[in-house]
Amino acid sequence: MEVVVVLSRYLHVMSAILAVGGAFFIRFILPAGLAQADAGSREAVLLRCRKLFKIIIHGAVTLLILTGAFNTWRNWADYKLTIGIMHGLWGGHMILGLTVITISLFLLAPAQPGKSHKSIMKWNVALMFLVVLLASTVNFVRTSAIKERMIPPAPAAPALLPTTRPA
Amino acid sequence: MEDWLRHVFLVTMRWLHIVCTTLIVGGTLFFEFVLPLAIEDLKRESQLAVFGKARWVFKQVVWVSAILLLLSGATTMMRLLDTYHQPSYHSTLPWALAHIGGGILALGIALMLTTRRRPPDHAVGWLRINLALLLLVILAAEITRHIRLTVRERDAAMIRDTVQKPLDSTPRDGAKGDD
Repeated sequence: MEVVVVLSRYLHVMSAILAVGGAFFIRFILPAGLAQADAGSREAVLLRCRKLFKIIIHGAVTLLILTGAFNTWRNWADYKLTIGIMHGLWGGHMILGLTVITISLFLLAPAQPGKSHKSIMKWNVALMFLVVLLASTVNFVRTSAIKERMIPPAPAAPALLPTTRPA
Repeated sequence: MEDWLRHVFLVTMRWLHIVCTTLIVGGTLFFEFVLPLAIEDLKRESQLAVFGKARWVFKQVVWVSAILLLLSGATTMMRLLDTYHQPSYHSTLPWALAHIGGGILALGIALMLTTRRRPPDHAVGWLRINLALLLLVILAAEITRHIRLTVRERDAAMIRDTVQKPLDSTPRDGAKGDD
């Protein structure tokens, strides 16, 4: 079970790396790299990259959803430690994550990129970073909650202890 | 430092560490697997020009990410150093050291590949080695974190048990000899 837990988290992180890193590369680094190429070549290379990225995104999305569901199921007991903040952050991470996934699939669905493709992709990359921020916060709150459980609870009923009994 | 400020700082550091990893690993993956396939139909000169320009842009991303990764990693290490010195957490230390050592080596290779005026011989081979190393470094980080949390959970459970048991077993007034 321990191996599955580590593997699930690893695959979740790796899928996110592929999706976010790939989106950043295709939106910011590749256009700069193609700036001096002629218009025909530039268009052909961008389309080819987009096609390959589409395959990567589909694999990454599948893994993100599967491993995300498993991680949630496994950590649900920890999420109950501080219900208000943990559920708010986890819900935000999940909803925003699903939004980003939907936008990515919507952007990559047509064979040719649309007019507003560039600006939507830019905002989508920013949203991806926000999803990662929410995940980092969830993780921090969760580990802090586990840490707090290590502080021994104060004795609830001192009257029950032998030293406090009347002589 | 105020508690809330410290918490914001720590979350920001963790976020920066993940985002910078994403940019370096994602970029390396694209450089190795996607870009060569996308430009294979171009002429040799055009291929080199696209690669060179993309490498120049990626160099800036790698530099910024490498500096931020080292800073955020050092901050996290400082925070966890006391934990790693505790006897029950000793099993995490080799994984943590593998993560740090491997990470520094991978950053060194990434800087070597992008900073020089000309890419080194067998650049694709170096890229592959670096990618494999980066994947192992991330795996080491996941294992370190998992062991640390498991030990912490176990310790928390033990503390709860040792505190609860004496309280539970303390005889109540008048309850002595009830059996």
